Amino acid sequence: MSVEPLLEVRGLSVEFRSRSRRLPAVRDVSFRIGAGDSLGVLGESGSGKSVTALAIMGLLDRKRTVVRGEILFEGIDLRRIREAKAGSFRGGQIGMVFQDALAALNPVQTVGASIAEVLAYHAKAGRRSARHRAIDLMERVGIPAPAARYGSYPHEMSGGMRQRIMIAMALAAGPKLLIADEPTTSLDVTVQAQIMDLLKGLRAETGMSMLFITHDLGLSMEVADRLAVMYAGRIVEAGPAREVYTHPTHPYTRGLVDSMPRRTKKGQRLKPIPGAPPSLVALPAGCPFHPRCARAIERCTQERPKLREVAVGHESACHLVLLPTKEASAP
Amino acid sequence: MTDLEVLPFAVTAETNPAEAEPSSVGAAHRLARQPLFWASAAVVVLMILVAIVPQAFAGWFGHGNPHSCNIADSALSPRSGHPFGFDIQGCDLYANVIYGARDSVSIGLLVTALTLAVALVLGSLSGYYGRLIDGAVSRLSDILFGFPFLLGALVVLDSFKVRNVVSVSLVLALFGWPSLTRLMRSSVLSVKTMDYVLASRSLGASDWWLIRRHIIPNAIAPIVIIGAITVGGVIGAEATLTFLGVGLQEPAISWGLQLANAQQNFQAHPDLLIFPAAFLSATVLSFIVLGECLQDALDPRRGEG
Repeated sequence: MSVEPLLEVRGLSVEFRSRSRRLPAVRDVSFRIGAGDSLGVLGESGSGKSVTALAIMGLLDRKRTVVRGEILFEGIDLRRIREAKAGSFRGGQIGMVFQDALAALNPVQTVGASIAEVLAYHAKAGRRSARHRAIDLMERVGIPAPAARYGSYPHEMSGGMRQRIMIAMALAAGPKLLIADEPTTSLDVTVQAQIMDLLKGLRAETGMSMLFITHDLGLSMEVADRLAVMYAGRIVEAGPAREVYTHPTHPYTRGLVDSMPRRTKKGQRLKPIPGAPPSLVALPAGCPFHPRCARAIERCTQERPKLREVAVGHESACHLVLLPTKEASAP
Repeated sequence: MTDLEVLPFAVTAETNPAEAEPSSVGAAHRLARQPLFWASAAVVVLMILVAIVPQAFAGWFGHGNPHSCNIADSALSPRSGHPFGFDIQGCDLYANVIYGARDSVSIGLLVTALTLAVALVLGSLSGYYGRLIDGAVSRLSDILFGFPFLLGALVVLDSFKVRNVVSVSLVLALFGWPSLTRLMRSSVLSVKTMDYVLASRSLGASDWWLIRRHIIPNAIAPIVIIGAITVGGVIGAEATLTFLGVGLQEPAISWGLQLANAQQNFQAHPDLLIFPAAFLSATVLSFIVLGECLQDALDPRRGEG
């Protein structure tokens, strides 16, 4: 921890503003990712995980959002640099993969041209060299017959192939950090596994850091060294992935772990978390999770628990930090 | 041995159809597969050729001068050497219709080119940047929308001393640009929110790059087809203004003037109306069909289902 982290987010808050109301989507989120590390951000829809990613990239609409806090990339606050300079971070130092590749690829541009365009504005590559490098990238992300597929349109490819193209675009300029926002959610399970293997392989090959955003605990375990669990715009638990998984200390994380099929023995029912995530405009007082929490006590309805360290490098925001139980420590 | 290893790669690189500019090549391929495109493009190209070099077409039947008239031949029906007959002044109607293409087609194309250019620039800027530019452009087009088109054109044209192709085109463009600009603006607004624009921005694209490479190519389809239809509409508007006496003036030759003149005599001499009208309709229809073919080709998701 003595080394300066690649990305450090300090006290990030994002608020959406419309004429009539304010919607706090992310509140006081802090985390760091070291060079070569990977952080999994886990949360349900509306927990603020994608908004966090967009805030890091500086892609939120300035007219409608208020962003507070610091986003330090190699010590440089990305929020303070001018828009003209931000372009070299976006795509250059930080690559991003979106959830729905069909929507994220220009429908009237060939996939090869989409990759080549990233090379054109970061590597200042000429048309011919950009083309050759794009084909190399397509090969690296496992597209068969890349030269022939260069001229294909997104709608002519399968979902898995499209996602590979997105990954090739994100990697084109050799970023130090890859942000993957639910990269496999729109894919079949088998294709999902292939894409996860690809991401793991690429990470091992390039040594880049990764911020992996997902709602799937199992997936995040595959790539993440550390996990941050988000609920209603805040991080409620963060720590080494293995430890968070085997010793969840927050009842919400515990619920996520318990609702995974692989942890349930045959004949046993899955244990879903009761209720639904709260609306961001009307958060419950105290701990935002207390209405769904089986262990909630009086204090949870009044006072919001702060993140505090429960073990080395492992933080949790719960008044009743769960002690490892027999059930939770089972492999 | 090394030659053999290098060769296959070189061959794929050189023979791939997507070598130069992939998206436009793809669009061209899709266009080439449509028979309607060839038919309409043939008529459009023919009409443009006729407009550029009418003398090459007018003389086919031996009477190529539209100004050599004999009042004794007034409104004679078609005959040998005069396939369309004569107009009310006794001029060869075929030569006149051929020469009429020039001003009609020039005005149609010039006005459309002007309005498309304005729509592309102002529509993209106001749609993409919003705020001040959008406000200014929208209010300006509101003001122009406020004028009844014909009345506005009448008033403005009436104050012109010289009414030729250029001045009539400028006036038509002045009142024509707001509708295409609005269309472009709304098209840009919807494209702007697409994920691929966000994705490209996340990978470092600048505003200018986004507008040029992602927004305009995806937003342009509706204004291209409306633009092609506009050519026909403009030719009709020119005819209307000419008929009202504020468009082109004699001795100019245009389909509008011919139709205006035929108006008084068409019951006795329907030829006078039919021949210029047939050319006008064929030209207008071809531009519209061409616009639709272009739309199919510009959007690779269409027509391949």
